[in-house]
Amino acid sequence: MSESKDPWRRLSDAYRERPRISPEAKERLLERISKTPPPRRSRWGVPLPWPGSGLRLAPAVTAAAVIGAFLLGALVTRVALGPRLDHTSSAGGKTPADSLVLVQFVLTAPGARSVSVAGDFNRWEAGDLDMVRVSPEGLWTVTAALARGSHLYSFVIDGIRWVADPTAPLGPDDGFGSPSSVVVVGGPGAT
Amino acid sequence: MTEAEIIAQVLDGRRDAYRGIVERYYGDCGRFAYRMLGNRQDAEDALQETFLRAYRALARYRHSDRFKSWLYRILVNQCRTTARQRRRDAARFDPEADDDSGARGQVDPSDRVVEARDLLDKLLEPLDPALREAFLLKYGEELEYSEMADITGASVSALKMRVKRACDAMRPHVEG
Amino acid sequence: MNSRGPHGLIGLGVAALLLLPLVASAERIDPRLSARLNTSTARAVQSEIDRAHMEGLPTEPLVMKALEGAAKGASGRKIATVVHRHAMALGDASRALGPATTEAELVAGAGAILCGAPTDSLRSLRAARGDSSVVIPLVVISDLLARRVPPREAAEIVVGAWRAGASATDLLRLREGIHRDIQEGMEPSAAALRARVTTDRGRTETR
Repeated sequence: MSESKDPWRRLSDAYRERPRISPEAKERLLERISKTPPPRRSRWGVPLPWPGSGLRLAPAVTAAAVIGAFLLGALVTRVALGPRLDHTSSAGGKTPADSLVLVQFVLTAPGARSVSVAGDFNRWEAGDLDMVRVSPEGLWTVTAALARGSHLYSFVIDGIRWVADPTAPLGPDDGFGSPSSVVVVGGPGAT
Repeated sequence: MTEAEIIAQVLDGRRDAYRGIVERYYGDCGRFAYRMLGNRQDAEDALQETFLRAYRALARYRHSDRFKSWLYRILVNQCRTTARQRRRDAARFDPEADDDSGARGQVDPSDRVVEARDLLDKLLEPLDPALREAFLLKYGEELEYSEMADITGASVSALKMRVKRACDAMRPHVEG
Repeated sequence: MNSRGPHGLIGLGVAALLLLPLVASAERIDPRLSARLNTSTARAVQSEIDRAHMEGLPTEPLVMKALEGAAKGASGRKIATVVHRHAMALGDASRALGPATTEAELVAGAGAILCGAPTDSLRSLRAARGDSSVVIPLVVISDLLARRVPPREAAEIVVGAWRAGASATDLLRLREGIHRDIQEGMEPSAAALRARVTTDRGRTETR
């Protein structure tokens, strides 16, 4: 223990003493790590380019740029209405059974440094569908091509915080302590 | 080896390299978790979850972030989750837990013959968790307020207020 | 002496037979699971998936649920438990919604059941408009339950509206209104009651 007479300093020194955590706990952790698959880097998704963003549109969704701009123009209304029941047909006019539908995800998160979307359409891989910050007030957005049907998803803030979409229906309790949301894509025929 | 090098090795598939991160931070994280949660079992649970989550999230760590801040963000959130779960469990198993909590942790100011470590435990326990968290990050981990804001998600002014209130609550028992 | 003579071949054959169950069981595990889960968890999840498959239930939602758990850093035991619970809920939804139910309806039905929806509400939805997809009504029920509207009330308001011919958009607006009231401090059951009164009044006025 420190020889300092200052009581606050003594408390601070007491804090810095080694905690009474068992070394076995650390070994159990390392053993569990050894059995856990290593994390992987991967990327997925079709980020919508914004002026100055430096992002490329993937060729397959070039025509979606116009649709994306329209969706952004209706942003407030769409957010107010809630979930994105999106009846927009996919670029290229494919048959309904096979087509993907463009869905725009939006989140206001002024304090975030990164936001991504993870869901059953990208195997819940956070960091695969990164959103782009499009306003100083903290509006984040990305447009993705999803298969028709209903999907569960969450936003992942700064890589670690999983949050539901405040404008979308809540999904059932995921059982893992993090909320998720539902988006239904493609209209009645798809469900 | 630097953290960046360790992370690169882990992402290349060398799981064993993660030991370097664990060895470097386990002790410091452990003392925070132990002081925050007040018992060894909960602290060990929170530590395990923290390092596992950090391991799984390594691909999303941005090198512009200070690694310790990034890791502590996970640690603080995990301690909050563990504490919430403990409250739920306590409520399930002991319906009168709330009645007991008020009686615990009362410090007898006339007892001057306690060791600093025991005193620290006794002073921390009755604190509101948000105040305890801020106090430990400031005076335990000796972080800057800006870093604490990054870690906790609270504003600098809110954190300063919490630290002040924690000190005010503890002062009569510390300074006598 | 050539080691690949008859004895060598017999040895190889025996080894292959011994290894076959291991190889077969390793091959049976969905590679997406083995990539993200430890071996014991992947096996446990695969068993649930195999059981669901034998019952004619969709398995992809169960794979996704396991991957979700892995992404969120859940323990292996938790992942296996959650997948099991979802598999059970899929079975309950299948029995309640009847044959010719789409996968999306089953998933939405399982979600509603996991949120606490009474299974007779699923039957009622199906019975009300047999030829219409019930995904949206089920999604709305789940959402209301997640926001702590009592199960009976959540089911009654949605089933009632659905029976009366509400469209998917109508139901989503209903959900939005209840959500707004709850956000503004109204108790969930009061918000649901208010929405029901408004809906009933609207139906009465249009008659």
